[in-house]
Amino acid sequence: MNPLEATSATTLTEEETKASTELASAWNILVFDDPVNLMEYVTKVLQKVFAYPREQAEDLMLTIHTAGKALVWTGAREPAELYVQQLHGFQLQASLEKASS
Amino acid sequence: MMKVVPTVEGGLRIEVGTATDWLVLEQIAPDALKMKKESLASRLSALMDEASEWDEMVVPELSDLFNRQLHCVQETVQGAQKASEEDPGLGHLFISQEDGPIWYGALNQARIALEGYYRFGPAQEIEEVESFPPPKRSAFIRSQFYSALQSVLLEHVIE
Repeated sequence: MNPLEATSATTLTEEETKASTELASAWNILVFDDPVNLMEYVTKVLQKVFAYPREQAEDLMLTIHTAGKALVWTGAREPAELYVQQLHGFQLQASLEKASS
Repeated sequence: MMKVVPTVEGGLRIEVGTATDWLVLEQIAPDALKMKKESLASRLSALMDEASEWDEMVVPELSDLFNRQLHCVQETVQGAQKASEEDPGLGHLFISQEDGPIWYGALNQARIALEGYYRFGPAQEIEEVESFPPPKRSAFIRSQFYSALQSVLLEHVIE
């Protein structure tokens, strides 16, 4: 076996492993307060995107409003990215961060 | 004075009284495009890490969605204004229940852009608003109107 091929095969496997580990890790979705979005709208968006009951969505909205941000969901990276995409579509400031283990 | 009335079909009817009312409605899309340097989709993307490839994968789709919202609102306003010029008795426009979220999104874009441009900040005191230079004062008043219209949309149209 060509030693170069062997090295590159090993590297690829490491990258693949890293990628799958990243995907399998838990990720947090954060929503940030802003001076524009109405409180009722933020509540409705959280209900719509995450199917949260009204009370839970309202609690999260109030945390966003008072603390400046709230952790609204934790889970795998792929669905998290889809959720953030939806939140951005509703013009909410949202980001993704790796959950500390 | 402009009146906003819920319709039995679940939408809104905006009764437009004066030429100034039409000017305010016409201004929604230009206000939303006030931040020329960076689109709203790009600014939201800045919150994501580089590994997400957000700029390539998501930003074009969001830009398209936001542009469609502005286009729809602009078309509705222009169509209604044209109809009112032909028949002065038709000084109104309708927002259907289906178009409610589109209007809400367009108004939100306008308010986000005006806030980004003028930095109104938290609730203003009346004295403070009166001391604003005229362009900022009129932008603030428009932003307040957009916000009021959004509240009516949330209450009566958007589920």
